[in-house]
Amino acid sequence: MLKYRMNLETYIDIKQSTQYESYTREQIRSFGIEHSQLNDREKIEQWSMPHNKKHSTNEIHHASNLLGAISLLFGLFAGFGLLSYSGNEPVNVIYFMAISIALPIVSMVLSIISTYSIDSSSNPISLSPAYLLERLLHLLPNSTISNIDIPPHIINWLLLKRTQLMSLLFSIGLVVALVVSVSIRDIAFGWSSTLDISAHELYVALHNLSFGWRFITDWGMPSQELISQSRYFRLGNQLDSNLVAHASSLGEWWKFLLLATLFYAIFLRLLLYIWISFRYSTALQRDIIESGQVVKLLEWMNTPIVSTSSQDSEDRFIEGSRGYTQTSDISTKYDFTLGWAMSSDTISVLNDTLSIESDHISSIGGSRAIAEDEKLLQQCRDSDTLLYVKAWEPPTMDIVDLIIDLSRVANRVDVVPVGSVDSGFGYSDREFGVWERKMVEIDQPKVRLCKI
Amino acid sequence: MGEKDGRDRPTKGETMQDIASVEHPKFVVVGHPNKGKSSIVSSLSFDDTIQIADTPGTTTIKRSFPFIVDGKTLYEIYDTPGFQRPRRVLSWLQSHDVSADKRADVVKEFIETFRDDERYIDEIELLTPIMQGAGIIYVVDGSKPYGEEYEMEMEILRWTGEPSMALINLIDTTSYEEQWRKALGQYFKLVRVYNPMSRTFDDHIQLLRAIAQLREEWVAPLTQAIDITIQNREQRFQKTAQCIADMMQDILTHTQKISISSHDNTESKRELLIERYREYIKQREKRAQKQIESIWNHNHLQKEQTPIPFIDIDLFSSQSESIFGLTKQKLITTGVASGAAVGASADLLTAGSTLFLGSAIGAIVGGVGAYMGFGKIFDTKLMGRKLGKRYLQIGPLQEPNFTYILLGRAIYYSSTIISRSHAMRGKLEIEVGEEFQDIWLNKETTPIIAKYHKLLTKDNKTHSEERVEYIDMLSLILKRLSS
Repeated sequence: MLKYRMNLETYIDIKQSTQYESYTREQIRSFGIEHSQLNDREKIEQWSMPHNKKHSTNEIHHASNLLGAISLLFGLFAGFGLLSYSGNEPVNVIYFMAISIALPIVSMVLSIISTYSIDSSSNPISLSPAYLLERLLHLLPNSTISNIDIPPHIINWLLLKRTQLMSLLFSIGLVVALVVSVSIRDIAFGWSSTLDISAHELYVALHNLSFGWRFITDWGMPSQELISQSRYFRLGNQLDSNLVAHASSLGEWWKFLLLATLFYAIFLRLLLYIWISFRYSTALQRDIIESGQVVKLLEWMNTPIVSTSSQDSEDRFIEGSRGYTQTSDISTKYDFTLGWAMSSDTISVLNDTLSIESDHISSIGGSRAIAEDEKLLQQCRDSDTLLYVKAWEPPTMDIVDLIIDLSRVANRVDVVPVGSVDSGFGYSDREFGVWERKMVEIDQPKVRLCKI
Repeated sequence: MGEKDGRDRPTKGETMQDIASVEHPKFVVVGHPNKGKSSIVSSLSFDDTIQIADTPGTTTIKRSFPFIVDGKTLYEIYDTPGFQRPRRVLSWLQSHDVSADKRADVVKEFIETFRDDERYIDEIELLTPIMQGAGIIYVVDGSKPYGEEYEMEMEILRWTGEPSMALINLIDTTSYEEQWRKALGQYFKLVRVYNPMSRTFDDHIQLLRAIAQLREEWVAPLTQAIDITIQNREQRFQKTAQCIADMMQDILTHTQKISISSHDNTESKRELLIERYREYIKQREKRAQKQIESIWNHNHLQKEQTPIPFIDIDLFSSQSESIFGLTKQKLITTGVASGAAVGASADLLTAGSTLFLGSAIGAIVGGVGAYMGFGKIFDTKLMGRKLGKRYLQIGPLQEPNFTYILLGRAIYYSSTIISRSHAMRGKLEIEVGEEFQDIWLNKETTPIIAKYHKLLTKDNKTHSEERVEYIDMLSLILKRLSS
């Protein structure tokens, strides 16, 4: 079984190499023989090589790159927007935390939930921006991506993976904006909320939120004092005097914001991205394996083609009819009684059994010399001759020749098929039928076929 | 490989004929007319197209049946017409007073002299490949008495000087084997009994091994051919099992819908839907059977088969049991076994720390499920009311017993096809005996089958691991039934 991590390129390579080109089984087996030293994975890679680099995964990458760049820019703009500082009032850290902590947590939870149903999805998530952009790319001239039959659940895994990448790049933009903003400006951070939240409660909440890094460092953790000092209320467009009094320490908030964004929006997202990439790769591999195309391809490569049938045409055999008209009951007296490949004793026993009188009895055919038989035929001239034949032996041309020669010299030839001694000379209807058909072929007026 | 256009794969139209053709063993099946030569060739070449009739002269020209592996011929069997005028041929040969070392040349001279003579057309056809170095397989009917006329034929073959063996084909029940052995022993070093109608695969292999002994240089290619034949048979078992698994998956997951409007007669629509559903199952079974026939090279099969019992029948009835469905008790046992198997996986995961409660609970759930489901082949459901539209849906298959009926039919059919000799031409009558289910369904196979069927009816996913296990088990059952 094919076991290796698969990416979109190999997936589409294999899909295309097994879908669009109809190679004969012989050609695929030839390839297998030629590459018999390779393992299954290498064989598939080698097989799909002609498609490498020239198919439309580039379009998919373009879409991903474009979306990534847009996300990064969007993150930068969002960051600069959130951190815009006029000097008249502080930057509210709650806004920034909503985007760098709350939003990533919510979207990651939704992503994780969606992974449970994604394998059984029968339609792509058509409202996803990542999907919509993909559709737009299809409209580009020379787009070949729409020729590739990618199942919906694979597309959804791709979209989910791409969404993680977009979120990651958005967060990186956010971090860059934060670092740039605090580097080039002196920003006073504050916090404000309509809710009745005390400085202590916010401290406890932030302390809990920093669980991911505080065991490493407490750098950046705002003190309860700072939290208390940086609270402000917007009343009459005037800043709180307490806030103004501690203006120099209000910038300390950036450290917490940076660590929180790095942890929630980047580190956790990165973990999710890696996990979803793994699931996506597994889905690609499973789809390839379950679609049966690779299995079939490998089977054809590795299985010898065995042929046992004939290439020679066969003459159609048309069975003759059975209705031989010259059948009659056996007579009681004959001039000659002959037995084909039978001993004289057997012929005598037969005559006695059937109460037949005969002047001459003789064996004929079988292992006797042809010259001896020819002499015997001359003796049968103008006679009534009885010829016993073995019913179970089919009438060969040796016998047919004899019957025809005999009919030329004798007055009458009665051919009598008889069974073996063990069966009391009885025979089957099928055996008699074979003789009957042969007699039709011979069609000699002096020859009669007799039944006992 | 042919020319490549910078790629590593063959181009269209390329074949493997360029693989070096080395001189391979050839064998000619000869004998008296109507002694089963074509049947033997049919059986050895797994070819059911060869004409076989009880009238002499059915085979009028020799035909070659090469055993080709990847374009390389490992051996070749010839079917030939029977001897027609052996006395005259032998008489002509014996008229040449030559020493033993020159006898083969006399036979060649005979072929040259009478090549265009209508009288000896059959003898020329059968002697030509022999004189080109083919081994001789002389066939006689051991159920009929020996006769002195055969000595002419055997003597002619002796004149050719080629390696030979005799096969006693017991066409009927009477046996004159001893008589024949004594006579044939005078002319042939190797005498074997081989009945193409009732031969087993082992008989086939044994015969090939015996043929290999005729000439030292034939041992290697024939041993290779034997190995490939065995390997090929294994693959056919696997393919057959896959084919059955595909059929079961399709049938078990199939659903059929029909839309209905408010003024439709729902009952008549329901009947129409059931009819279509049945037709689907019938056609799917038929397709699987065709595939199985093709896998085993029985492409010209005539058959008569009892229809699928969709049964408007009560599945509790003795009638249903006779078509190897399960009795209620057996079905419950099956459900218990499969439930326990599923539960056991949970126990294994926890290394037994669940005190095997998983198995126990699984068994109870499985047993109750089987009890409740018995007798219900499929459900028709009224689905959807969106925008005033409704439709009836049937499937997936509900009745576990019916799945055993379908699977049992497929297994029986396959094992019959596998065991059937390619020499047989009569109509195949497929009728399953009551005892059949006891042969293939046992405590090892039941849980695997029940588990996989349950998974299939649960969702429409491919359960890869369970499928592999199911296919391997089917393959094993088929091998056991066909051995």
